[in-house]
Amino acid sequence: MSRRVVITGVGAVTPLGNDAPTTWQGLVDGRSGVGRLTTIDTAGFDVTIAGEVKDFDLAGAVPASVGLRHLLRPGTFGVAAAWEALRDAGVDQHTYDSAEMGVAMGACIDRPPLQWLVDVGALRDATGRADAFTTFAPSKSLEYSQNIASAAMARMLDATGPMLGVSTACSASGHAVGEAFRSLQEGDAQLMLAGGYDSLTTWLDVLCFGLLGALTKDFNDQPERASRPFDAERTGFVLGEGGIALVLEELEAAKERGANILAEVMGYGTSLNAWRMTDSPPDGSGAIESIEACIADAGLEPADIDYIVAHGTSTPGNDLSETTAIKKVFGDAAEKVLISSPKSMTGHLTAASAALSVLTAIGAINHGVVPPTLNQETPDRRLGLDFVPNTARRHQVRHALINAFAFGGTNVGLVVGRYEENR
Amino acid sequence: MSYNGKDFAAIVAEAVADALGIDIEEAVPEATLLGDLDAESIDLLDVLFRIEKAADVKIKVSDIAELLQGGIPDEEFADENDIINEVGLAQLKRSLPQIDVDALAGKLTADEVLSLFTVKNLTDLVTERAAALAAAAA
Repeated sequence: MSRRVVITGVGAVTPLGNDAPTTWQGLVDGRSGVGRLTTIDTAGFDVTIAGEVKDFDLAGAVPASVGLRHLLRPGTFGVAAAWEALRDAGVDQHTYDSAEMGVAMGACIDRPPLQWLVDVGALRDATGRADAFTTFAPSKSLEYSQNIASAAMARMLDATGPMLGVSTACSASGHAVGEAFRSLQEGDAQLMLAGGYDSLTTWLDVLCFGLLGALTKDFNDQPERASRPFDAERTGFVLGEGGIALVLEELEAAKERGANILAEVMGYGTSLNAWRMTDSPPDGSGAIESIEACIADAGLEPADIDYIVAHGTSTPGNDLSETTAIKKVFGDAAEKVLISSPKSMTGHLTAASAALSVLTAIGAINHGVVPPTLNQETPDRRLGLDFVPNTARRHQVRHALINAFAFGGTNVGLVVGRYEENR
Repeated sequence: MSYNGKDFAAIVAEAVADALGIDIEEAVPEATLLGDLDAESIDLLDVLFRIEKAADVKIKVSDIAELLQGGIPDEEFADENDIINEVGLAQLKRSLPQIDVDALAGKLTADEVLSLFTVKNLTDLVTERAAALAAAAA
């Protein structure tokens, strides 16, 4: 039997707050973190809102000397979340041998700050001098490497074990947690810092997701009503940003050091659609396979799942496809399972979103409360399941399913359960 | 410290502070770059890049190593265990006047030499290089 894997620490920087407890409380309260977009000048844009991280101070959040000056905005969220998760778990560089600790993070490949590129391009055009590009300081070349924030996390922990960077867009942190789970199951490490970070609140991303028709343009004057997964009036997703980190440990090692066990990672499954780039299969295929795979991996039946933390993006296509998949996999049990989407409050944290869903599952398991799906005003008759509308609900959660899907047709399912000594 | 009206001490201090993300008050002349200020090799590249932009003096990391070794071949600079010998230490004392040769004798390895390099040493190198450039142009 493979080794069991537990979660012993959580950290978060999200549109709902700059730590995990504040984020969880925001989810339970049904508070919206979506507001006017301030990271860019939105004049001339169809979309002027996003779920932004607010009042964030990296220097105040983490100790110096972990390579922080090489981080861009997304990485700062990840590193701050990682530091919180390590403290929450009571873990430091001496907890295990360095080689027994690793990092697995989902993120986008980074790139130079866009405004900086624009400025350099303008300078080149104005002066006619190609060497305008040599204003690029040497260390800038680090900033757009995906693994730099992970490297900073590794230095915090003096972790020299497995390292994995995943860039599968909106499913990235789901893959990162799942692959960290596998590393621990297989004995490659005793501790993995896993999660994701992202910040696509840039003009290029607002423009591009807008061109794809993926973002809602209909609630610019009422930002808190814009993200409405599963509601009949949903017209697209809302960009969010943030970082979420989890400390995963091999069960026996965690018990030996007296760790506070928050939950168990029980199953992981992945699939590809091999279909269209941005359309979700309306028959739920792809999602069906990842859901079935992770539930089987956990040794459970669909009826054993008490709560689904939905991918629930608020696009017409995703929410239909995801609901269809749930109905097909769960059969009659689909009527009973509670389903909600944190994105209704935070917007879509893209590469970090699946890790936020794991945080949500951990909270539900430990507090016996399922956060709501906000903005349920007009039920979509084609969907018709229990999306926990607008108000959190008391509910004992023993097993939670987490869904994450991405453009390109990349799907991840995770099962996170209450920790029980004998399984 | 100045040449052609440029205050190289200020330029170097600012370059160090900007590259390392520290307060300029921390970039004191006697601070060692790789030791006291916790710089890595990539930071040194950034510091030299900023100095070039501000002072129009190009210095490569290899120039620093060359300055420190003063053209003495490796085998004459250190022993077979890579410990800097008397000849090496005498040369280092010329480039890095602040070092305590007696304290370092028999201990200092070639790898550690760069860690003795201070903000003041860098300023001296920049000043010297600027003077050489000006003389060549005259």
